[in-house]
Amino acid sequence: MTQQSRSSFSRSLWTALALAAAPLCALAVTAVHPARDDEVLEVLPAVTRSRPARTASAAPIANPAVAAAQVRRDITVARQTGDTRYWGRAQAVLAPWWDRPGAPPDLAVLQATVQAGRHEFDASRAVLTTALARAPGHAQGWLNLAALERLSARYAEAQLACEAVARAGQAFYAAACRLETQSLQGQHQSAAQGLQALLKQTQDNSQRSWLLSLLAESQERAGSDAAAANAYKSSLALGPDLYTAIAYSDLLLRTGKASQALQALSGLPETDAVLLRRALAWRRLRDTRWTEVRALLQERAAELLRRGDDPALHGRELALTALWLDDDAVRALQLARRNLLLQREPIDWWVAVQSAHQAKNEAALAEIASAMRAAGLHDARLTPIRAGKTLPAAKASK
Amino acid sequence: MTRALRAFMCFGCIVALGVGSAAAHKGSDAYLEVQQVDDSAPAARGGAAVQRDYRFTLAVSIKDLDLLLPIDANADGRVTWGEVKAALPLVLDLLNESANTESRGLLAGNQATAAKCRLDWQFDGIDRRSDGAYLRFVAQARCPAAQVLSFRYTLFREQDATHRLLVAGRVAGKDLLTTASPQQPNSLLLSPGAATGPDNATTVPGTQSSSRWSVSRDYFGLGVRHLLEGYDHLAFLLALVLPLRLSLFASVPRVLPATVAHDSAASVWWALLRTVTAFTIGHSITLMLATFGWTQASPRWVEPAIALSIGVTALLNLRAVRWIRTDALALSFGLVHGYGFAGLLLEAAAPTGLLPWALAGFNVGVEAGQLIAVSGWILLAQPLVGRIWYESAVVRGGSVVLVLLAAWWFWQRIG
Repeated sequence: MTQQSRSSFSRSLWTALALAAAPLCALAVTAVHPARDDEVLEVLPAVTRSRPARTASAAPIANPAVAAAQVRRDITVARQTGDTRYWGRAQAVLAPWWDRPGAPPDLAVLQATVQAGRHEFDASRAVLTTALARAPGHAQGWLNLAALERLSARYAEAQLACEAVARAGQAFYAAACRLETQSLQGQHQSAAQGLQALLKQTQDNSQRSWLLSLLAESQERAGSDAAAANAYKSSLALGPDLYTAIAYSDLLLRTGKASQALQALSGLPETDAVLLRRALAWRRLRDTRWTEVRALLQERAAELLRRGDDPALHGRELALTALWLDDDAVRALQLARRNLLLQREPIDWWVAVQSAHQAKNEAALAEIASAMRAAGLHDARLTPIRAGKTLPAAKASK
Repeated sequence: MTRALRAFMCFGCIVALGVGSAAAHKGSDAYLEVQQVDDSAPAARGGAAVQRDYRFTLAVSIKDLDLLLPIDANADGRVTWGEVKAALPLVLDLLNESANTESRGLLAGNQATAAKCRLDWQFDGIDRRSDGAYLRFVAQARCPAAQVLSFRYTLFREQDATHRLLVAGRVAGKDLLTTASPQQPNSLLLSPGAATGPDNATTVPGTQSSSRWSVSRDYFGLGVRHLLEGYDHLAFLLALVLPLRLSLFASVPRVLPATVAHDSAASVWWALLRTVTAFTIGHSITLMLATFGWTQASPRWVEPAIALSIGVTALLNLRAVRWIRTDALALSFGLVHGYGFAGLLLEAAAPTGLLPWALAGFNVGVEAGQLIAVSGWILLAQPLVGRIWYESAVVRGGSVVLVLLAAWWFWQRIG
């Protein structure tokens, strides 16, 4: 009941915000007048290999293996480009099996992946749990579940899922899964050693790139920024990845290297997350283009609302925008706290703590710190603020 | 740290799955703009506009169109202007089929009206939006004002579960702002027809029993509005009731002009009832005959005849002809006016299965409109009916004005 009224309140809040941003929508469209036939109008992230026959009323793919392959391609494109339409395409291919109790576990896991990609974490977890009850040996399913549990800062549950990956016979992935979870819980040293050991086990570039990104994140949480930066660079050199590039740019921005951050962000697809960081970097470099990017982000938020998407699913970017570009710490805190109900990765805590700090909201700061302690997250980026917070409190108690 | 989930597909395929801040683009959208160009299409019938002109603009992303049509003909992942031009005929076919107005159960013999309301998309240019290049198309439509105007959109229904059509514009004097999904079973309601506007994107009534009520209601509204906005029908009614001294208070006027001296007050009201009922019976007969297609009448003679009926009735007020009874006159001219109403109802294209309901609703609506008009006249006439100059100024003066007006309309309509 309260949940409902809260959500209806937040809906109206969002609507108000969108209406405030609505005049910007006029900027959204620019006419293009191509002059030559060989002028490229659009670059497609994926070449369409097969199109539905125009005669029949588009028969869906009936073969689960063929469907799974297409869904994996769509998921890859969605991840590489950040273009949400590819999640919708993956869902359309999965339509015959979507939410069906008898769906093959592979396809149920893919459905959960699509849902997680759209930040529908609760739905994703429910689908995974059901599928894994039927197919307890599905290593990919357990890995995805472990990731979801880590995202929700439920580290004990994440460790259990990692154990199930091991039981499913995927020792290598199970080890990485455990190490990442341990690192979040503060065992930075042993996690780093374990990841180094795993790196020696494989020569596969994409696996090494992935392990290096885990190592980089672990080292960043441990407070070793220089080592983390090197690991990010090595990871990106082995295989470009949108998430890793963004994480690296965050480190650079946090350590005051705005122009290097711009470099790390160059060439990436212009997702909200990328634009947001580019705007912050420009702002720090006193490049006025940052205000244009801010307008574009507002426009996109309005577009999301317009098409009926739930803006709360993008709470992290909205909070960061309010904090970094709008200098509105009070609203950023409001958005960040709501976002913590959805996801609890280190950056989600970070934006909440930063916002509370700038808004000088001691009560919120204490509440966030205590929730973070309860979750068991240990992150060097979050401790200085906690220390700064406890010091005046200790003084006051004397 | 922006990544929590980057697990690998264990089984041979190297797909990294991510959950993180990167995904915050909007999904796939198409944009539809509907503008009502003009509400004053040939108002030959002198009443509510029967046709409305619309301008539709649709923008669809190249990325999405390439899912269904080989826009990227050489499959190199780069769509050139040349490739777009070559694919346009296919795109237009696709749009005409999957993004069009919906005409349901049009009356036989009215295909021409239906065709004018269908969209024939034309390429209009290229737009760049936040998520890429879009092809823009335009189409014109002329649709019956009373018909439920709906838009059927099925583009990418099987290809993208989250594709949306964002609709904006202005129809029937109201702003339209809604979002539709090709997955939804019902068409998008742009204008419910008749007098109401598209305040909500409600579903279009099909031929279920629940829609009988809504069809009757829509056509009732149309009937009321048509009579009240139809100045020629109002003029005719006025010509009929002008000579009747309809006094609500004084049962007997103090000064009785010679023509009505022998009428008691009761018989004046009785005359009113007979006259209005006769008019109703007359136009109901022809309305029904024409709507079911049993008889036909060309507006070419109906329209001037309606003007003529006003003139003749007004002239009879000036110089009575003893053997012409007012109610018989109302009945016979009612037959002519009925053809006028029928033309409107035919163009409004009521759904075939629901035609009796539409007809009933429309007829009752016309009666209600008459009642409102006559009541209005009675109230308006109250300060006048007791006056000594009522006969000379109101009846004779008014009738002269009506004769002149009718002559002018007649001249216009035969021209």
